[in-house]
Amino acid sequence: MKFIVRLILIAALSYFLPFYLPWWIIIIIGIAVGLLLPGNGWNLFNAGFLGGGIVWLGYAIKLDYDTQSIMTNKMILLVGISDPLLLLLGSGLIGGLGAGFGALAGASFRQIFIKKKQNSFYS
Amino acid sequence: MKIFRFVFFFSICLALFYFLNYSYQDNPAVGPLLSPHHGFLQNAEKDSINLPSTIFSDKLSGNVSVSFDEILIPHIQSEKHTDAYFAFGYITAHHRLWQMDFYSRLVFGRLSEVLGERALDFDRLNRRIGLPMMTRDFHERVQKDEALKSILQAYTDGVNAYIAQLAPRDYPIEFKLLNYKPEKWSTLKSCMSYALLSNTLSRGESDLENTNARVILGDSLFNVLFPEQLGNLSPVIPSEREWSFDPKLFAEKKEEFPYSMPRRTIEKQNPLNGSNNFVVDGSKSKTGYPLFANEPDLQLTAPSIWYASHIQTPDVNVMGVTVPGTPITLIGFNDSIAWGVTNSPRDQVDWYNVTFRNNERSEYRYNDQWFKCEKEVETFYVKNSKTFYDTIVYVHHGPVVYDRNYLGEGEMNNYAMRWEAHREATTFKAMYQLNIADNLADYEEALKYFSGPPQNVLFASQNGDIALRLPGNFPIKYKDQGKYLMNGSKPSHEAKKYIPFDHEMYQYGSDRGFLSSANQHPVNDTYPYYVYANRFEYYRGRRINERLESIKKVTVDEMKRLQHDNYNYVASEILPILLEVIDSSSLLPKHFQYLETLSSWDYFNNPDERAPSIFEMWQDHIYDFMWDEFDTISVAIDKPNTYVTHYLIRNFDSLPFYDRLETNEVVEDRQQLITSAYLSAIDSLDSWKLVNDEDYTWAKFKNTSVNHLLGLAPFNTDNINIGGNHSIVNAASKNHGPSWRMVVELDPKGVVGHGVYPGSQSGNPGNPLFGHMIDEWADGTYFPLKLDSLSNQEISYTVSFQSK
Repeated sequence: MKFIVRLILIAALSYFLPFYLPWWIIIIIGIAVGLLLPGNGWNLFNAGFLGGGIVWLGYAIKLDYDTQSIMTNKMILLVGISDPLLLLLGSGLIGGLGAGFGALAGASFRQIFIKKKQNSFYS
Repeated sequence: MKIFRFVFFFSICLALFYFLNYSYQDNPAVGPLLSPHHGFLQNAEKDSINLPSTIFSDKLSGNVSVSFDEILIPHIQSEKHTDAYFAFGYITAHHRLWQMDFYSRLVFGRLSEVLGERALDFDRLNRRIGLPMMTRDFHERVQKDEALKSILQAYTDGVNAYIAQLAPRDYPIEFKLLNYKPEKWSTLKSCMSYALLSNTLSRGESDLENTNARVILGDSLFNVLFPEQLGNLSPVIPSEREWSFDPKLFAEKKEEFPYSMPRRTIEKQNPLNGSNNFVVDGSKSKTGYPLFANEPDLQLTAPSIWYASHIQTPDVNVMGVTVPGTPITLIGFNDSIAWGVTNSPRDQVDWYNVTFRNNERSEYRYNDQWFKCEKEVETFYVKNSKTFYDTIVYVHHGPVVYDRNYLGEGEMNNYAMRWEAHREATTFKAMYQLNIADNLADYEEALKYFSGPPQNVLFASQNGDIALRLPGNFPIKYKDQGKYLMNGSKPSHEAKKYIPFDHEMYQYGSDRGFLSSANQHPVNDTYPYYVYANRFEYYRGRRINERLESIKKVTVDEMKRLQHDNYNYVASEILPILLEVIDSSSLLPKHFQYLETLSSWDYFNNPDERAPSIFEMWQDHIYDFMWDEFDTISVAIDKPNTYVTHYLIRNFDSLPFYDRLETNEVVEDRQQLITSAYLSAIDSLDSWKLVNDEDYTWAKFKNTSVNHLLGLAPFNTDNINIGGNHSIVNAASKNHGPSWRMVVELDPKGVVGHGVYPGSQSGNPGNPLFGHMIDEWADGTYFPLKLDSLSNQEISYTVSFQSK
């Protein structure tokens, strides 16, 4: 359940905040969510990677589709790759890795200050 | 352990940030470019216009309505003159902001700030020849003219209002690729087009090349190979014109010009920059009123050099093209007149040999005395490299462009540049007065302020007048003055007085019913003043005049057709001789096939013909074989032009130049030269076919392209299906051509225009209409240019500007 909340939160922030802030806000979003809604490693990374990645990939695909790839088709020639999809996947990957590793960094920062719970005698 | 975990993940974040934000050499950073919110995808446009329907500004005092027509020309209407220019600035910036920034950096020698070291030499040259200085002086004069000052200020405010509302994601793609931000615009930057156009049009010269050539060839051979005037080949001013004034000529002087042998000279303007214009009066036109046509042939670039617009206020109602950044229409028409310009080649640059007292370079010799020099240290902030400093020394002639820091070959050559474009100039005032002119008298009055670059300014009015004037600043020179390097310490080598306005060349009305110009020599040798230029055009003007003579009653369609005329005058003069002279006994069967194609050719360089490709190859090889002697010369020198080359071939069957140096054992005559050039041309054509296309039609072979200003291949348009060539009226060569075609009907019931240019109003490669007019431009289609208010179907979008 917490995974879903994190995922949605990261996704929503990854969509809205970059309209007003530089691209690297995606990493800060990951860190912030990791700090506020901590969890275990892979769970967190996945939430960040999927939340950030899907939103950036999805938004990139939408822009590309709406404009009939007019810019993507020119950019692939400029960077020397053959498939426009690769470029869009690149957008998704940046969003995913940024938010994913951000979340891990945020959570691990919080971990430093949280003492390991003493195992209860009864648990 | 926990700390280690944090450090590990945090380092990954830092690494992501660092590497994705890092711009390696000239490549843009990956993060911001691929972020869908910031990067290139934000430059992809769904609709051809992307502006809010209402724009508010506190700089406005009233409302402005802007209607875009089908090709996105803004029709800007306002009751308040300056408000219209505010909107004009805003809209132009919306379409062309990066291009404006680029031109301004070019003129101020600041391209290396964003392009890095590769632009440093270019920047140095532009500062050394004084483009920034010219622009500052020009701006100062503009500030003294109330009308111009307020227009430029309003336009600048509009550009800055546009820039102010941009988020980084909205920056044109070029800013993102080069990783920099738009700077604020200024009225000073709005003056850059004067230097830009002067640099393109009035800097042509061969003074140092002539100096070398005269030494190497000797006077008599030099005069044969580089004649000043070639008969009377349809000059701009019709030959019947008589000159009644008293010439204020200096006495014929025999001056000794200094001896010097520079190896390399500065980069010159492209010799293909040229233009055509022609007008017929009511007696010659089918409709009974004047028909007007103009097209400037310049480098074909994306974004296009021109931006089309229509401004309507109580003071002005003008339509035509501006250079983005300058709100004055340079070629266009209003509700009473039409005007247009073609370049008039005249020697506007002179070089003076400077003698410094010592290598401190603080004093120079003049009139047997020592005078103080001025020095300016120029700073170049080169991207990804060390800041570069360049000291420029100024003497009273102008900047010492060639010196120990620049092409001076040590301390040997110090050449100061005198360029008429450096003088006080009021060309914007002249152009603005043309924007608002009503009749011939206004036209003449306006041109009194035209300082250059020298142009053939053609005119037609609704009330039936046609006229042609060649205004500019022309120093009065004695023969040969300014043709060679001169002595900077001798006052007698300087031209001091200028040809008065009334003595300048002009022709009002015409017995033939038409006037035209095409960069040919301006006048025949009856004109009392010495006229010199290093290069004239010899073909387009003759074709235009012959066509206009042969058509009895000219229609608008004929005007358009003549702009697209593909007749190869060069071929018509030389090919019959080549075919007659060639030695067919040394040809193989495959050679005959090409020869047949040439024999049956009607000399039209139409896009689907093959003969023009063969002819072009052959002609190039003849030229190279003929002047191979010049390739062995190690100092700067020009080769004779095509007209002279063909004149010699037509008239002489043996000349020392026919010998090819490559063949030691034979001394070639004309027939051998032409035959071996043919064989070699066919070999080249065969290899061209192997590499490119079996089908060597002219359009494919020529490959006319519109290239992006940064040469970014995906933003270029290649292989445009168009005929013509340089020296042909339809002057579309590889990267040059008609940059704006305009035909205007001076109908007394209402002036109507037709226009097209190879590009699009939007300079954004991500706009669906980017480059959309190129096909129409190539196939001869024009778009209507309407001064009347547009009907609803004709309007593609409307923006209203309102005061806040």
